[in-house]
Amino acid sequence: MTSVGTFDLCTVAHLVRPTGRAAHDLETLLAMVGELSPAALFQHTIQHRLREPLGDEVVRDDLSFWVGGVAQDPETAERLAFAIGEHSTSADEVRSAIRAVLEAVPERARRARSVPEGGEFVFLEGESVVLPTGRTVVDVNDLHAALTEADNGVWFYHLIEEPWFQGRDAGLLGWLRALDRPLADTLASEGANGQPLESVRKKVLGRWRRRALPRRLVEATGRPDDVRRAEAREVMGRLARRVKSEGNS
Amino acid sequence: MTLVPIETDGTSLLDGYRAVTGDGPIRVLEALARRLRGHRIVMVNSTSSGGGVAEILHRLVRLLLELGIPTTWEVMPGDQRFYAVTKSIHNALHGEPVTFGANETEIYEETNRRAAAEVALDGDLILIHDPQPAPFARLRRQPGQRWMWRCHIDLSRADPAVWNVVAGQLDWYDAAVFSHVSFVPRLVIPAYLAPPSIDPLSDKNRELSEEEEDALLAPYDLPRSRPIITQISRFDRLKDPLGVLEAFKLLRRQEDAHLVLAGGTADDDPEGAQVLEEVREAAAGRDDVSILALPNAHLLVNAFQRRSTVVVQKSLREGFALTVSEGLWKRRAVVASAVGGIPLQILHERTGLLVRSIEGCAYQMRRLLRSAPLRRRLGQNGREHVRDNFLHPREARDYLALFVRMLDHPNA
Repeated sequence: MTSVGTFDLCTVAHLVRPTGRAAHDLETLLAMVGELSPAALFQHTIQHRLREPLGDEVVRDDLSFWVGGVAQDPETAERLAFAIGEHSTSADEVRSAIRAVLEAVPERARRARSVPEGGEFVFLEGESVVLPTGRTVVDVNDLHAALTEADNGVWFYHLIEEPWFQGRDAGLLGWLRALDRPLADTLASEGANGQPLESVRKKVLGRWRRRALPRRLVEATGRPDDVRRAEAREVMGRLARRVKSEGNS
Repeated sequence: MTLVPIETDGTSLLDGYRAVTGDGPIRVLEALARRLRGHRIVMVNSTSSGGGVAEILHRLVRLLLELGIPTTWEVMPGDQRFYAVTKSIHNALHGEPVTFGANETEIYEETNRRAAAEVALDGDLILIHDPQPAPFARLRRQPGQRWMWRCHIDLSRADPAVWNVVAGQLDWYDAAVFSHVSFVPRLVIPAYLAPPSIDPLSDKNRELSEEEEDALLAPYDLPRSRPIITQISRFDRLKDPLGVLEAFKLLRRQEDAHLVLAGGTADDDPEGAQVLEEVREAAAGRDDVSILALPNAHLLVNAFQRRSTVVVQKSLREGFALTVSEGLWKRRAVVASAVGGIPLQILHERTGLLVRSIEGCAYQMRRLLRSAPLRRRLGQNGREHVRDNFLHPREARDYLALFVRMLDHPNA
């Protein structure tokens, strides 16, 4: 086993600042996207996943939401939503993807998609306040236990925000990669696929549990009979309680 | 006395909020509180009762104390002349024409000088609310302190001359906080956004039993067999009650429904009384419209919103319009104008429906009346959206995160 030390889990609170920039048509949107800071791109293409963590539906990013709803260009909005969802792993990547979609719209049409006063897209910028949770993980199993208990801020910070700003080899994913590369890759791809945070949590923990089944079976066969019987009784008890509670609800 | 005593009924606010928001947001507050260990917060505003700012401060200070952060709340003392001046400032910042000259500036300055000497600012993190005590930072700032100014007012149409009086005080602050991006003026200090929030434990928003709801609404004789459409707002032209009535008349060509237009009593607001009269006149002879000048009764507002099939907020201009979050929190289907802070709360077709015209309002109300699944979907999404973004723990988190940020980056 590789010894890579422990890892301190963090959560995050985001402060939001106006950047002083606003787009009033697709042309100004294109120009400004080229100049936005990574923090502003993150705010408008990623942060909504923490603002709206629930549900199974993929929530639209701020930019395509505005292009579709306010600038009234549903086709470009669709393309943007897809491009942002596909290229949401770094500022450079998402910036290029947005520019490519907007550049595909003829300049005259970009200018024609102007919005009335008050409908401008106002660019904001996030500032992250990263906070230690006080939970230190020592290995993969401990990480599983910690993430099962962790709040959305922890998931968002380590699976989405940290790799977005620092790359996949930094932070928690970097630490995990040294211990279990396939698992780290699974976490990285689930975090980057644009789903709501709750769906990411369910999928990752579900896959993790399934992945651990063979190992747990092998471990179980090596235990004394009385221990295995006690474990079986506990599992059956849990199942009975679940069936009962589902019947009551 | 300038120190406001914090009342508690012996219950834990943290536990109450945890039951509503789940563990996650409370854990973030606890993590922020750990980072702020050893620091002391002082909040300052101009009144301990009446108005939304005082309401939230009662809760916020109690919450911070429960989190283990020593926090005090000071109210700046003032007299009637000062309150008349600050009322003028308030109105001017909202864009109304006022007379504001050297005399008013002198009263503002002099009262602040006296008040600043009386108020105990013995913390290192000072949060000043609104323009009344804004000069405190210039008058009392000590080395090592961080000062934040929280503006609860929509400054988008502020009278420039009056705004300059307030803006001149802000150079002594580390940051300013506004409710909505459109309210942010040009500043030399960093500006942050923190939308206002509602209290899920308050009388206006807590769960009501069916019996409570029935008892509260009994005097108003609402029909049981028709869907109720409600707009609860002051009788103010900018809330467009006449527009709501017009939309309702269009709706009634095809749908059966009952409209409730309810708002605070208008004793101190001559224009409000006039608007109320115009609305009554426009609805004269209709038995499908109730126009109610409600007393300031939070439980009653709660009951009206909960009884409604559709909640409407068809304003022509808005500050933040927390009535929208109140409706969403109660899982109501909400139709509202795309103005001010409303689009932050209503994500069109996801948490509610945005409209821009009387016909649009009628159309969306009709869609909602005809589709219970649509109402359920929007209502459920709306509740979750408010849970994640517009409850008091989130506003507390924003302030605490800003304090941490100011301590970590003193020159940001």
